[in-house]
Amino acid sequence: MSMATTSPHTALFQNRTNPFTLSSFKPTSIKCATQLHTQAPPLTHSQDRVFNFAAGPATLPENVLLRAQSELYNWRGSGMSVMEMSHRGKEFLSIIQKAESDLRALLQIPPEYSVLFLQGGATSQFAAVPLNLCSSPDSAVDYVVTGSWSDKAAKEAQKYSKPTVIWSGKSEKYTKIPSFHDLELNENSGYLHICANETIHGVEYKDYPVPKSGVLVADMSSNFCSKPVDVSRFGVIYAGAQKNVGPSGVTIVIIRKDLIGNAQGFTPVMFDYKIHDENNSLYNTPPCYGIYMCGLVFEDLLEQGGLGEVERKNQKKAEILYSAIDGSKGFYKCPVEKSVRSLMNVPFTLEKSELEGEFIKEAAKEKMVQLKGHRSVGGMRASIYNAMPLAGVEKLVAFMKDFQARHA
Amino acid sequence: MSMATTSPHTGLFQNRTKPSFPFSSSSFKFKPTSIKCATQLHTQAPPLTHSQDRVFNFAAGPATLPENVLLRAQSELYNWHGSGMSVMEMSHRGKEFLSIIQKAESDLRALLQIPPEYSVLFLQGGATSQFAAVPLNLCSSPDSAVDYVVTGSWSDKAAKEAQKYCKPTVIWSGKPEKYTKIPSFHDLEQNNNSGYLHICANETIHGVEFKDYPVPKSGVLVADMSSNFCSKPVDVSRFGVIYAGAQKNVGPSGVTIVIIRKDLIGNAQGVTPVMFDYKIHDENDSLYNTPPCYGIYMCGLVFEDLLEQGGLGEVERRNKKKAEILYSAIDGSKGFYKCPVEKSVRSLMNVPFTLEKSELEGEFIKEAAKEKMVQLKGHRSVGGMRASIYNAMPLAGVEKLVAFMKDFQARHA
Repeated sequence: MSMATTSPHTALFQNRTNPFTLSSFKPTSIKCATQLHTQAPPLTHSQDRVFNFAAGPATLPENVLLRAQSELYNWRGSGMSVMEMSHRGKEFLSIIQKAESDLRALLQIPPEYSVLFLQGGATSQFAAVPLNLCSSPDSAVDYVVTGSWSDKAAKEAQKYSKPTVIWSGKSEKYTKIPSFHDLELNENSGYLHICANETIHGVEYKDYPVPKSGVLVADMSSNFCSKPVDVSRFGVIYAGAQKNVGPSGVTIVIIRKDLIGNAQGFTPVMFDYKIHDENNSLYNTPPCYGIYMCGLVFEDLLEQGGLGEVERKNQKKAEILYSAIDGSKGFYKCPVEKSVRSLMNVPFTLEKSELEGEFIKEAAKEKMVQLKGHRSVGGMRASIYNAMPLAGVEKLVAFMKDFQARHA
Repeated sequence: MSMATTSPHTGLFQNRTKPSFPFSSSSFKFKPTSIKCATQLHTQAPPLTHSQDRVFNFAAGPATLPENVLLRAQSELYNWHGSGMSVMEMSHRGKEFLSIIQKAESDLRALLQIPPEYSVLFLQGGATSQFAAVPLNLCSSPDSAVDYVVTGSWSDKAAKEAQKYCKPTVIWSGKPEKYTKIPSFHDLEQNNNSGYLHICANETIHGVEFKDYPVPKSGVLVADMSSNFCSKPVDVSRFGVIYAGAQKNVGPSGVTIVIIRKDLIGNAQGVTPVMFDYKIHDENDSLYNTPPCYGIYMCGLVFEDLLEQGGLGEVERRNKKKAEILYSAIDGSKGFYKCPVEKSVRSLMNVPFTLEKSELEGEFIKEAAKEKMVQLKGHRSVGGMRASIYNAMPLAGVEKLVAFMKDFQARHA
């Protein structure tokens, strides 16, 4: 069976920077940014570029990368890189304010929520959430554990609160999400914590439980900005940026303002939401370049038509891949319960597991990289975040069919 | 008086990337229609002078980066060394990024001659996170006694944060003299039972810098070196811990480097967040969770550049020359400009100064910005001007500033 022809993803490189004003110096250097602008044609997926199925850090939109490249040396005529700007200067302030504004537009974040751009990854939030939301280490909170990441969150919370794991999918190898009426929430629980999408196991909430406390906390690291979300149903949403919205090193926290200001006494200043909220995420030097990259991604998502359109694209991509798995008559298998299969992370195994190494190696030769599953799970995992083009998924599916034909 | 002609800084753009391998897979059906940005930049870049587009950026942090490092990063942002992806897109556990972080560590070890009994960690959260992480890791309980020397705002913040996790004593404070001095070491009354002595090697805001280091009774000297890291050779073996935010001398913001003697690792207090536990990061080679990959890559380029300049001895020589030019202009202005810091501890990195006629300071800053010398306004807690002249500030930038200062004085004398 020959490989099906795939439709190339077209990304139009747009000139969005301010025109440069000529100064009195005689130019003796190339103007890299300008040169890139004037020369870039509409692009297809470059022959240099691989389809990167890594789980995070992960593929970024091609046009965002090209734009970042074009202005890395000189951002919009400022005479410096974004990496060099004072975080309190007017240039960077405009960057972080626009990033926040665009994110608010994408997710329709209500005004009673603060948006924070922090450091330390979601793992830091495993500590910061109970430190800020629990008045003392004796406070009771509930955790639903649907995979490795919510498990880690619950364990870290033991240092700062009294967490109860009210449901765990471990016994069924994290292939399910509980029906909500099965959840026995504690009456005195301060919040209910979930992981909206488990990167490793590929299970995703399609709807959300209603906590008795009125405070639902979600780690959305691996499906953030992949679909519309009713933010008002949550007390806190947190997400590492490095899957759907930017490079690693930025962690976004969206928190209802009434939940801010009650941190425990030994909370590190860098984990105190009040400090960061009052200082507009500039209490200390934020991860400036990462925030700028997130800003470019938010702008790109808006230009794509917003998260409804993004979700439609993601559903199409996931459907193609899950159909190939389910239609392989057992050659490929995905263990996750169908109703909660992730749109973002697709784990699958080969019936003939001894072929898995060959599958991964051959795919890499075909420029489809990082398909090896997480070391705690094995098999394969295709992470198909927003920025993975449809062409990448189509190429993978064609390869899977060809591989099956050759090893049936 | 006309402005003196300055000598332009020349940064040669060098092609350091590996040639990308020719595309060979017969199954690939796309017709290439894109430009190969990286290759194009390589083949076209001539030797550069300071671009007319580029300003001299005196910001305190984030701060100016070496021009050739920026250009190299730009050239490979989209496709790193033929890998088909950006560094920003790589799995932190893939072989590409592993080679990047390992080389960064190796080059840093070479630059600072870090002994093998020390671990190097690439973390997040800035030096401010280390204000908590240091006592959380080095003090066995919140009742542990430790000593802090407070020579400016940053060591003051460090001492205050430590109160949550230990019993810090401020054994000396420069506050009464507005942080213009560093104590003579025999004046320090260290506590006998102190677990460590903490200093801030260079105070970014006030511009005071340790030129030598005290000997702690505990044998554990801890230094925040955020604003003079890699600006001169340092005998790492005199320290228990060195920590530094990267965004002044060695990279963009978002990376914090910790150099810690291995025997100090593994005793974190029970309440220590996993992200502040040095043992976790040491055992996982800074990859316990996703590190700030692109920032680490940028630091790696800077380390490589510093080695190519001849290492930190040469770097210090250049920094001394730059600082000398600026301090001489201040001291030679017959009081028009003043720097309040005691001469023996004036920073090579951060030069605060005021105008005798303080009402002219706004005009000075504005005029300088028009001449493409930006971010000279002093910290809001201090006022006046501050010129941060880190490693990557070219000599030409300092010379231009000095020429402007003389011209400004001539016009307002």
